[in-house]
Amino acid sequence: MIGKPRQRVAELKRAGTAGSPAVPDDDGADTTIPPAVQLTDVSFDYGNGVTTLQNIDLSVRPGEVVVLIGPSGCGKSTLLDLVAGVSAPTTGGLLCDGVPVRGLNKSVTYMTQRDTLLPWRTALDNAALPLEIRGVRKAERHRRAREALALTGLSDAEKRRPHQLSGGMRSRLALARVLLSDARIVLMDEPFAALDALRRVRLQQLLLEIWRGSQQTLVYVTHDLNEAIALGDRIVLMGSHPGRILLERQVDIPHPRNVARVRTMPEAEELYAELWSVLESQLR
Amino acid sequence: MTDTLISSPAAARRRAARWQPDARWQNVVVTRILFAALLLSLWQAYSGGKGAVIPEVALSKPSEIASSLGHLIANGGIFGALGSTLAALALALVISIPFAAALALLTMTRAGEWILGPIVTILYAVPKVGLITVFILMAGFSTKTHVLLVATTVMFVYYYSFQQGLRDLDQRVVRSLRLFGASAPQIGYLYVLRAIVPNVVVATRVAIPMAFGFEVFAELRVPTASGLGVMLNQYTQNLQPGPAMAVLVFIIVVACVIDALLGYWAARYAKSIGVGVTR
Repeated sequence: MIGKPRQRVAELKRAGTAGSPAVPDDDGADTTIPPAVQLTDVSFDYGNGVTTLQNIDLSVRPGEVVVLIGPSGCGKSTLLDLVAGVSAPTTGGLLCDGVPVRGLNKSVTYMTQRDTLLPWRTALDNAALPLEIRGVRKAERHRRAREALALTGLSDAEKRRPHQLSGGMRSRLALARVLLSDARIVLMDEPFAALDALRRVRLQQLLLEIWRGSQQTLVYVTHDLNEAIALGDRIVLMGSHPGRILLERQVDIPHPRNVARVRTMPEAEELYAELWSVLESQLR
Repeated sequence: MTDTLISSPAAARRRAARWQPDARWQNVVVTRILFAALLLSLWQAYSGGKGAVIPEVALSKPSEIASSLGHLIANGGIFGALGSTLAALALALVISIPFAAALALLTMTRAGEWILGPIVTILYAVPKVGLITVFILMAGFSTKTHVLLVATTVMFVYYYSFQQGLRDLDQRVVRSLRLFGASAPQIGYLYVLRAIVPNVVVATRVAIPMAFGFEVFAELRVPTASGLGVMLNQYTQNLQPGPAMAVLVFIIVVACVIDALLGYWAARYAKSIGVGVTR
């Protein structure tokens, strides 16, 4: 579908995120670089006496893909809101790149199930929006937006408006826009949940291909265990009432991964069984 | 070269299908024309003369109305009056739209809502026609009075539309723009101004025909130098039902044209952003 995505994303990022700290490709922790996201004993409630999140300790390394999974109401989306600075923890500490989060966190970008594309803008102008906000000249931002659209397989759709795109194309456009943001951390809250199974697998594969060449840290929320195993470097399983971390597991499946085939691999089946047994106890 | 000029049979069939009028629609048009012709014939037959059902002093014959309308169009007087009416209407819109926008923005703040909210609600409840005496005292027998009446009326249409538009802003989009680093003016320019356009389109669709009607009414009640309402008033005062009816017909036609143009514009806008488009 797309050629050499890793190299092309790296070029796109070099053009857009000059000054970002270098991140080692391997999984080894680099002690000189602070975690991209660090939550220390974080609890949160909406002021109604019900604790939504309790004693969350989570550290996400730069460039890592961490998948949060758990039953509905376990506080996955609330946790993303905290990282984005939309809400503030009731107690505990939250750091991004070693800096406490106060107010809206400008080092993150958010992609949700319902996209936030502007209906009056073409795909090209929607993709270029983060660059326009940063004051990049029109010719330059269009050049880079075209590159991002090519990477996400939308070259032929650059003049179309969002309502003229299918659900999968809209998701790819939102992905292209995320690529052009200078955010070091990307938060995704079930971004492909509304798509049919085939489109979802194709977009998961695209996401993997893009992110392996990207320096962005990804925190991904899903309900789907297979999706979590296929995409994540690490899976964090959460329980509800109150929302807390039950289990963390490294995904020891080498890259590049084929999303459609990952689930048949023995390592994936073993991990699935383990995660499901914990998740099942939560659903009872 | 020749090949490019000759269209394919499939394309020709598509074009033919596009231009072929719907038979049912044809029937509707023909029925309407026949019904209108019947009404006009009855009107022509039973008005005027001794013992007529329709008194000619109140309602002229269609032939006389048509003749008067032709005369008014030929001497151009009616277009001058239309120009005056539309100029007053435009001025009222120019005054009321920014005022409505500012008021909507103010009442979006908590303090603005507390202070201005009840005042706006009370003023909206006041029958605007009843204020005409106040406006005469304020601005005299002049076009200013017309403008005040029309502006006061349409201002509320725009105010409530702007307010609804601001309330309907998608906070996820605002948050996403802020995360991209957008400043408040950038959010206003890139999102808010465009997002409230559908509300402005709907408000305009309602406000302009309403403003036109109120302007004609104001010209009837507060006659000035020119305007369609002034013209209508003069012919009525002079007991000239033919020209008076001709002006009335002209007003109806103008109102229909305005409504059709605004409807076309609103539909085109809706199509451009995919409203009502199903995939």
